Amino acid sequence: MLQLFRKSFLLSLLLFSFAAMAQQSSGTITGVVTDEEGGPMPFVSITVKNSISKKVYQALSDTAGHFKFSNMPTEGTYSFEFSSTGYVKRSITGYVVKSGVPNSVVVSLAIDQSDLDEVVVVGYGTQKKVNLTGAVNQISGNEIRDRPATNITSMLQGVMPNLNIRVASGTPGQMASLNIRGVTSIDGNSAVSGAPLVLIDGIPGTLDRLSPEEIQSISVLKDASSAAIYGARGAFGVILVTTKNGKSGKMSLRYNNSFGFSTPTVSTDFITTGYDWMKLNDAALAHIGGYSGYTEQDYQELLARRNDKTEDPSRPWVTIQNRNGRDQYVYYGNYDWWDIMFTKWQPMQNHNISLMGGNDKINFMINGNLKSKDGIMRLHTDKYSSKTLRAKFSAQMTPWLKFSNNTNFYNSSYKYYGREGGGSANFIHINVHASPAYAPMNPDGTATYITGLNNYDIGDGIFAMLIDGHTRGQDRKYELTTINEVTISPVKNLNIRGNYSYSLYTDPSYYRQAPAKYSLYPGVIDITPKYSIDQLSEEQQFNQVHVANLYMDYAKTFNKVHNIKALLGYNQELHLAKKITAQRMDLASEDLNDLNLGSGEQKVFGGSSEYALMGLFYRLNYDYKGKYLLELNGRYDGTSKFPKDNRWGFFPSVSAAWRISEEDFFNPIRNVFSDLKIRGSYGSLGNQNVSGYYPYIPTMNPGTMAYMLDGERAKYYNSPAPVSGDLTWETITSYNLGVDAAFLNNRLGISFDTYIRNTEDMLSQGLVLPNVYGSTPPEINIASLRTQGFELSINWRDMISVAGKPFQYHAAFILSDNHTKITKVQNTTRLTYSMYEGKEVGEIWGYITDGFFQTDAEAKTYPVDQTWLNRVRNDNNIPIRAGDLRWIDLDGDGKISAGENTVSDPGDQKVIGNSTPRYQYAFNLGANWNNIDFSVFFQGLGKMNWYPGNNADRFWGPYSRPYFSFIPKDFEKDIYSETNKNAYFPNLLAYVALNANNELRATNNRYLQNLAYLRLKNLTIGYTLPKSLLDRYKIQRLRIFASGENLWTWTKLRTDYIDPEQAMSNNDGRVYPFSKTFSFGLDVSF
Amino acid sequence: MSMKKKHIFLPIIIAGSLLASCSKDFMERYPTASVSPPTFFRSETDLKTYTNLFYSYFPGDAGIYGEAADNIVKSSVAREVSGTRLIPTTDSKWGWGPLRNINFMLNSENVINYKDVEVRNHYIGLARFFRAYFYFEKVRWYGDVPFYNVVIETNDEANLMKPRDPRTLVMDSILADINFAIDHLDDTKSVERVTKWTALALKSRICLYEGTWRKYHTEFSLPDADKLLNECVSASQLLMESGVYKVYDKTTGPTGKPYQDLFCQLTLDPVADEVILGRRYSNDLSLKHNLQFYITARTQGKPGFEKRLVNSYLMDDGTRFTDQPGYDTLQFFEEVQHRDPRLSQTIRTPGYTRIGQTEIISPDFEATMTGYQPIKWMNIPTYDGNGQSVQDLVLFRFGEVLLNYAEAKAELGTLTQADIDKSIKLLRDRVNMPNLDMAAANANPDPYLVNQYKNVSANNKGVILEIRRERRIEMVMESNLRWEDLMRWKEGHLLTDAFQGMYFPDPGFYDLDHNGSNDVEIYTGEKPPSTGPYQIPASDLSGGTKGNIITNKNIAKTFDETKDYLWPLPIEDLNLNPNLDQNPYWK
Repeated sequence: MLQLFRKSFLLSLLLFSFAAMAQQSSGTITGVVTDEEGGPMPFVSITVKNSISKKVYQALSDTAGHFKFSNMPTEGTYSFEFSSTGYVKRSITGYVVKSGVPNSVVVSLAIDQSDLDEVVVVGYGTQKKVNLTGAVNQISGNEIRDRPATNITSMLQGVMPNLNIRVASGTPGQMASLNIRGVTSIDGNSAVSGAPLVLIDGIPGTLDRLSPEEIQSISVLKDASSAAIYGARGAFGVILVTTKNGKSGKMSLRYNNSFGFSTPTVSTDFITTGYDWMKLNDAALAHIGGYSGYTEQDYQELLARRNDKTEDPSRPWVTIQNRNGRDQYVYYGNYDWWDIMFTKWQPMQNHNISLMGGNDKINFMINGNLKSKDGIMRLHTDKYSSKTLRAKFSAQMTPWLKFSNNTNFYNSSYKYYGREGGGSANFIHINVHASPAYAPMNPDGTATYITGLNNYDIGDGIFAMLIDGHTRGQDRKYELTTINEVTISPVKNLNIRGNYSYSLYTDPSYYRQAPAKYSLYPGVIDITPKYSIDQLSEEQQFNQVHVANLYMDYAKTFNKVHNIKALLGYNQELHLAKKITAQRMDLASEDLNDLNLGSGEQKVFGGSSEYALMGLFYRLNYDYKGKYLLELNGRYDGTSKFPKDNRWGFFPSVSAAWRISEEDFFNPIRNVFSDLKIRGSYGSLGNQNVSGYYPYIPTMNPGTMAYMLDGERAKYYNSPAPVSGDLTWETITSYNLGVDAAFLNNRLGISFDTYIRNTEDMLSQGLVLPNVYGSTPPEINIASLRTQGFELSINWRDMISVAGKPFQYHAAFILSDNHTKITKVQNTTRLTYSMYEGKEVGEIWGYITDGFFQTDAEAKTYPVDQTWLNRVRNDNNIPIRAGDLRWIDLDGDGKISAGENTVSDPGDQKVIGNSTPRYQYAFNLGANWNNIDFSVFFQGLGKMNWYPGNNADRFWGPYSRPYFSFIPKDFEKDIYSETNKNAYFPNLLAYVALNANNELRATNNRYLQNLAYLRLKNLTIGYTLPKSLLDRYKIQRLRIFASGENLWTWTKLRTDYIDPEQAMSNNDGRVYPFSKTFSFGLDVSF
Repeated sequence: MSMKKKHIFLPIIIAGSLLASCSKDFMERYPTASVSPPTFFRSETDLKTYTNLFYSYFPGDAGIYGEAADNIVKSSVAREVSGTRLIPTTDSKWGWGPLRNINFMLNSENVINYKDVEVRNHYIGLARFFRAYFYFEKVRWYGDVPFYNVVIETNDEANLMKPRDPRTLVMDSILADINFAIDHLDDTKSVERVTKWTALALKSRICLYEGTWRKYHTEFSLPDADKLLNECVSASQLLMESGVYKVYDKTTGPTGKPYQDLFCQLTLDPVADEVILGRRYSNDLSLKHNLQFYITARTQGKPGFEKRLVNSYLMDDGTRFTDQPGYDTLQFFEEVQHRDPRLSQTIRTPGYTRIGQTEIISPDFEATMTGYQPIKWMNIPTYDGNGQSVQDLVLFRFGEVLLNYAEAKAELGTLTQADIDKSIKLLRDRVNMPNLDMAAANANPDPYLVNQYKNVSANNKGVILEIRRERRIEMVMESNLRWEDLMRWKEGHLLTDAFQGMYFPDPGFYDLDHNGSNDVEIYTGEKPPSTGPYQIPASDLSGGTKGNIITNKNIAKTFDETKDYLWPLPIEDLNLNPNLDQNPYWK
């Protein structure tokens, strides 16, 4: 019987009613849900609503596809809704229930092809996901909108495979650097992981100047074929951001907000007892008489206060004593400088409002966003805020003519006190000499600065500088972009678009220095020599970008099987930059800030540049029945950065795909194996993003020297740096092979890409000339490198029944990797640290130690001469003894040395690791049940070596500088001693991690770190209030949510005091701390 | 349909106008904030601004006061001092960037054809001054070096692969350059700009260096030592007779002691009597140096005067300290009494107070290896912090010229008492020291100095040694001259002597300046608990429980007479240019 129905009424609903057999006013509905093939469908969510009582009933189908509703009143009619993940929603209306007879419903659901119909934004157009032949990923803005972060780039971390995000620091508003698929080029001895081209609505832009709420989608073009249409700048991938458009229909207003609190991800539990801190540092510097200048008597005083958490009136932390014949303050404190300088929690908030609407002719979208976040400074907190406003409208003026405008305004401000740059600069400078023994303030409220017992500046004088709030600055950014576009459709399937955009960016900033005062002798106030200048500096860039595009596309199907699409276009860009800086000294007021108030020296600096790009591009798509797909892209591109004869380049690409699952032979397995496509692409792109704007023109650049003549820093000109007259494009050739597969009715999706990207004709030193040449030889297009990698993503989406209610969930896993080898370079000396042919980029050379000498005798008789790595010990007559590192004489010459530091003679060094981030992965889980939504997102890194830099204070402590302010609380247990022979560090000695030719400064296997980490990047829980509750307030939707960012981190890095991402962005791991953030908010639509 | 067709033209019009706007010029973009060589050097301002760059080739702060030889002892010993220099892969000493900049200007068509001859010659003179300065350094370090007066192009095989030119040829070019500079530079006095007088002072320094080098380094068989010494005499004489400069002897400075005040004032203007050229620093411009931190901090190498230098200071009656019986076992307080006043104006001696302070302070072993703590150049404590010193520093001064004059004449054997009276005497008068008596000196050469300077053998040996004494004392901590002196006199062996500090007769407590509080504790065995004074183990003393402090004692110092007078050339360049030879015995 069922078979019959299926045959005749596929994709439709059939109802059976039978005559009433009973008198009850209620009945029972039973039914069955099947798929198109007639197989039972479990866990289909069924919602039934009565037309009179408005009552809603819910149920789920069981494993046999059956469902049942009992006691359904006969009054009124019923509407049904059937939904299941991966299937098209079905609904039935006007169903009548009769009592006493079986009321049954039979329905079949069709596979939802929309997943495959998903449209992906590609260069100058869109493409159905199924028809993609290149490597493209896309996410929607909704996926990131709940996350409490002040910038979009950091939210994109781990969202797409091989979209590599490196966040420089936790500074509010800090932009992260973007990279697609790894190393792109070299610059001297360092590898460059170049940034992709970022286009916002088709115009070059900056991601972090957007708010997530206005984003419709972010599409990442990774391989040459997808990016070829952007020729010149698409070589290292393209990120296309599309903002939301107005929709015809009901006008909607949406407001959402969130309030969050951030705190550092790392431990801030430092030594805060003056006695212990001073003992440790004096011991590290014992060989030259210690650090503090404290006498034994002073130490007794410190010891007496060691257990005081707060000041005991009988044991003041600040005393007045006669030293060197004069009364001065002497400090015996237990100050927690971290708490004195920094807040534990930094509040942030985000408000967004958007308005959309329109009719069939005109529509509009307006989105406004306001964000603010407090910085970390306790005294005179630094504050970041940003505002964006986007207004879009589009008008279908005639059936063939459409006009649209898209205007965006962005503004941000970072206001701070202290060192220029604010929080992050203060953070770095407070890292020295802020001993817990030293007070930040004297009892009379004056700041401290030096102790008089040694001549170091307490905390680099930052506190003295902050205390009166006069030294301060503000960085502001303004950007206004407007895009006007005309679309003409003169004939069917032909669209011609022309747009012109203008963007204006300016970033006025000021920094006001005022003399910082302190007191060492009671009652005597002095100006700190370090911060003694009274000066206002103002700086402003004024940048303009003009972009014009003209392109047309045409699509047609022949004989129902041949599908053709063609695109042809023209693009030109002009970038103009100008900068002005002005400084004036000795202002009439410490509070007011205007250059006119200055009476002292005045200085003015300028700077400007411009460059232009032009290109003609095309794309041709052909497919046969959607089975065999072919795409040709190309661009003829020109840039003003190269000399006339080498200015133009043609960059073609080709890609093809075969949808195997469309073949007839695939039919038998389609039940399990829903989709399979293989893709391949090849293309060659140019990179014009080489050093400077006029790399081929010899220029004499003005500058200012660190030499005083005529009462000012002398101005000078340099002789022109040699240039090569025939510079041209770097050529990037990339190969991509990909597979997309889907299983179990698209519940499981797997996508895999592997690629090779060759960067050829890289600018590099072409000639190695003797030093008598007197300059760096000009760079020429000579070097090559090869980056290889892969991307894997696995998605699972399903729905089950939990407590009788549908439980929708999804899980995704992504993994990506890349590594780079230098394949060609002119370098005959092959120094280990240089770019030499065959080098694996990121390799770390180092010495090998097998641990400590166990006895003094062993140290004395060790036959290998280690003086090369024992500089401080030698210089200070400190003999090698038990607890010092023993080095392995790899080259067997009886002494440890760097040899010639070349690959053929590296002395006792070898490759011990690699600093390339490898195996970046992420996984997320999301679920939705009973109006509750939940998502969790983990992100991690498989391997990356890091050798802590010489100023990695949290890592080395006094082994580097014997006066780092913040020494981890438990640091002492890592110091070797007679009773602590298994310690991590050798005998305590200052500077051995700071200066070259010392045991810890020399890169070695023992202290090499692995930055592998796994982070709970985000956890969000939301609850959408039931509609029945909201209807009476005319509210369409109201959701409340709580979200946490960076909640938990597991890492192989040895210390808890450095975040692995801090170490990734800075060799010393000493950047403004990253935050973990807790937030909550609401999202309401009217 | 026809309507539609009509509107097909609209995009074509737009496209056309867009393309039209992208005329050929659109892609032609030239620098907007820098100039190109053909348009430069067309005004005096261009010349002046361009040549400003050359001033940065003068030494910076530590290059002026931070000398490392046998005058100042530090916690670590430079490789050239310990005799452990390695052949480097690359070396900034072997850098040629400044020369390219200088030659670029000298070869510029616009400079060569510059209309105003006087202006042209002035700036060419300035550039040639710096070329002489550049090559003087190169010759000092490397001996023979390739000489270039052109800007080398990448394909200029001949110049790139050139062998080293003989030292004599390079020196002739240096002299030609400096003579041109003397002839054409301004003679208006300036403490911060290079003038004719600066050029003369440089010439005096160069010719003394080269003259004595050729005289003493007989292993190189170089000619014309006397000719060069005569050039030194004539250049010095010109300066001395010009009357433009004199020995600074005002007592109006911060300490009232002219010698000390010459170095410790914030700016050079009050001491412009003597200063021929200096380098300015400024708090307002954030141009600061590290001198006071270097001298007072415990982490900057703890510089201290070496004992033999301290011994070299005469008694204030002009007799020799080292002639006194038991001079080598005197304690600090005693040994610094009645000495050449320059001693107490150069190191901390009892009663020392900082400028602007009244507290008497003792030598601080926390900051000095030997106990003889320098005070030369020191200003008020405000500038003691890391990188916070702002006093101007001296690059050339008249005092050096006087010393050069006397020494060149002495080495020539033409020195007379009258020469001494117009040179050394002026320096002695400033500090109220009796004059140097040439006859007495020659009659009775100081055995202490004879013992040090092994290569002096002339019949006026006595006065040569006294001039060397005078030079060492007068010029300590200035422009690293001591290193240069040892090299040109061929007395490198002096670096290998164990460096010594103060003398202590027993373990126990010492009040160095007799102010009633102990400053040092010498202990034996285990370090006792500190009671305040700086603690020194007796094992650091030369005699076990007594003697002089021996610094850097585990550093074995050697000086290889065959090779250590010159620096090794870097490997990279030897590999790149097979015609380039390494210096002798550097293998």
